[in-house]
Amino acid sequence: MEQSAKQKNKKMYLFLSLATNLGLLFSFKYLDFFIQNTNSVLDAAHVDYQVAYMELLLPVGISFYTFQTLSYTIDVYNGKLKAETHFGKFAVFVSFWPQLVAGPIERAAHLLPELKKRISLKYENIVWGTSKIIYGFFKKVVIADRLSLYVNSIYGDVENASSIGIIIASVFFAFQIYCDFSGYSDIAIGSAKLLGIDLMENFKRPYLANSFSDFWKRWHISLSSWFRDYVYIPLGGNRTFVWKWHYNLFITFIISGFWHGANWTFIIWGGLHGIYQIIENILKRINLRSLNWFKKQLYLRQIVVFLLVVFAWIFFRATNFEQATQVLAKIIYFDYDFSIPKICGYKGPLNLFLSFFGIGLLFLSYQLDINLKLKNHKVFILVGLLVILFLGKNGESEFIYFQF
Amino acid sequence: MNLYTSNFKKIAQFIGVVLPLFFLVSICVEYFFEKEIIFGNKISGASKINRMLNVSDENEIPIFGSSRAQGGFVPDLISAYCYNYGIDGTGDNVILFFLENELKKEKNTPIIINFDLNGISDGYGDNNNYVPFSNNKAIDEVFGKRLFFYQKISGIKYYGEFENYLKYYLNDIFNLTKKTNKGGSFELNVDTISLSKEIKKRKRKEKYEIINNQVLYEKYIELIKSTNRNIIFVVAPIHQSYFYSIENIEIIWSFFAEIEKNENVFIFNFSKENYSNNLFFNTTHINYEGAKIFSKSLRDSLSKYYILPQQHN
Repeated sequence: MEQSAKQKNKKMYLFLSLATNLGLLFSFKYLDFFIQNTNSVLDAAHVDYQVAYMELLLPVGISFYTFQTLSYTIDVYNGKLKAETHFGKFAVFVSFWPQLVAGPIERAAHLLPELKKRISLKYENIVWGTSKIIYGFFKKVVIADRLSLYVNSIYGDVENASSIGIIIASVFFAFQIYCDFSGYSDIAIGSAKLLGIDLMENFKRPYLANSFSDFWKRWHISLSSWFRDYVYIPLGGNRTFVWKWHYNLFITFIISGFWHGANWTFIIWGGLHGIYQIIENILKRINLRSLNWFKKQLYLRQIVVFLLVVFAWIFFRATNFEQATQVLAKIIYFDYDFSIPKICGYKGPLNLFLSFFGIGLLFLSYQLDINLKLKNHKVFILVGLLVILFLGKNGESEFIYFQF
Repeated sequence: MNLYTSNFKKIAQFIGVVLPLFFLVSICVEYFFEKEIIFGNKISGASKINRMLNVSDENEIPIFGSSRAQGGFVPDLISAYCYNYGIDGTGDNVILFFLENELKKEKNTPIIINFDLNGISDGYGDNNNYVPFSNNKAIDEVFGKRLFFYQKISGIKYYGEFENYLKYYLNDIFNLTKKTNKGGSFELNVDTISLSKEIKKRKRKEKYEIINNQVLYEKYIELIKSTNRNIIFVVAPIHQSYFYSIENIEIIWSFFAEIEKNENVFIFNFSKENYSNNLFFNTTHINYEGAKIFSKSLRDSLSKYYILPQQHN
């Protein structure tokens, strides 16, 4: 593609690459979803025919490495990057083990030069990498796996759960998915650092965001920047009419939601974030006294952003749209059921206490430098190991983002 | 200076400081945790195994069984000498382990065994029952294969289990969610909605066939014949809907007919007692109220046969 003189040929190679990569992703991940919806339409039209499901096994990490290779192809096409001629190096770029399964989704311009560096065993890298891995495991086994017990018990039986239980479970899920995913990213980044390779940061304390644009600069940064560069900006970004700008935003978030899974709930989740961004952009331009006051309240804005993010997570967590509406109904039509056994869930009060305690520990860990530049890594690693030993749950649940 | 050598030295020094410190702290915590928390309560499986192996009270009447024993037999209401060794999730392999060890002791008190209606089968319960004994040869032979490799390493063997032991300890002291009594742990809460749903589900579900594990079956016969001590098999009350699930309940009665031929065996079957729904936690376990009624009935039945030793005031 890079060597083609004619633009027409370049486009053809690009199209071939996109079609192959996206075709594989579509086949493995989305085909049955489209078949399901086709069958629903046929059913509604009283057509006595159902398309058979393919039931293909989803290759682990396909969404991640597909996007990683797409970014390489598009960057070469756009002339931003020279094509890699060494097949082995390219293969390592695609399948680099720390980030193969669940990211961060690296750009070739960043990762390929890293992989070409000589692998060296440096004390500073080992120490920092180990600290990062320990921090990742802390988030995963002390917080995420703990919270999953409560969340699964409530969301597994929404009908019998109390409203307060559902609210707690929804908030817990927000922290569960953050700690699960950012924990994995930390382990991936730390593992790569042991070899002297720098991967990009994927999370920057997203629940401290004071706006939605800020949130998306802190949450799954590798994916949000990918969509910004390869979907949002090519659509026109914000350099167009206002309505087109909002349309571009909305479509980008819808696609982002769809990337997460073949279910209407993910699309709704993405759509909600698109709507949040659009409303935020509109409100930014409005000059109202009350709004200006609100814009100055940092903590209030953080709380509002967090609550709206939790609301969107309800759709992400629910197994289908019906369950999501059931959860929302339980919250809106508050039942005032404060029975302790229901609030505690089937794992009991100690688990509930440790869940809150874990979230407390997470915020305590925010006292540390965001880039984990510590004065004494030995103490951090020792304390981290002990916390994991005493409070960790032994692995019954896998990483949430492995399913994508 | 060679960069690699100096880095390697630094890394080795780093590991040489952090790892020993980690194990020092964790082993110290482990020691106190075992002594005060794990063996400091009466209701965890580990504390019961520890008691069986290390305590010999010549007047004690042990009660063996699974969660139905643990949650159904109130020791103080049956006899002042009773102790509840029931462990959640365990099967006849664990009961036989307890029975075998009990028969090694020089005692002549009766032994009560809660017999479940799901047939003679294996069941190990949670690994946390056995982790404290990972270095004990007798336990390791029987249960060692169940443990993960790290559960045999001092310093990290309790990873993931601290909370479970702490829960037993807190429940035993504070009786928040369960009432406890000498090893017994009884459900206080009753969810009548879930119980009704479970009853309906049982009626709709397909029946299953009971299959007895022949090795364990033979082991029961062998141990019964090896002693003069009275062995009392008790079937605890069960919700009548349970019988919808079973295809061949007569296989249990055949086992009873076989063992009853021995003079030292007594069988008390409470499974057909029609207890009301409010005495059940679920269709296979009675709650605390049900346990109190059942324990008193059992005491009365045992007294009729003069099986229980006289209590000395």
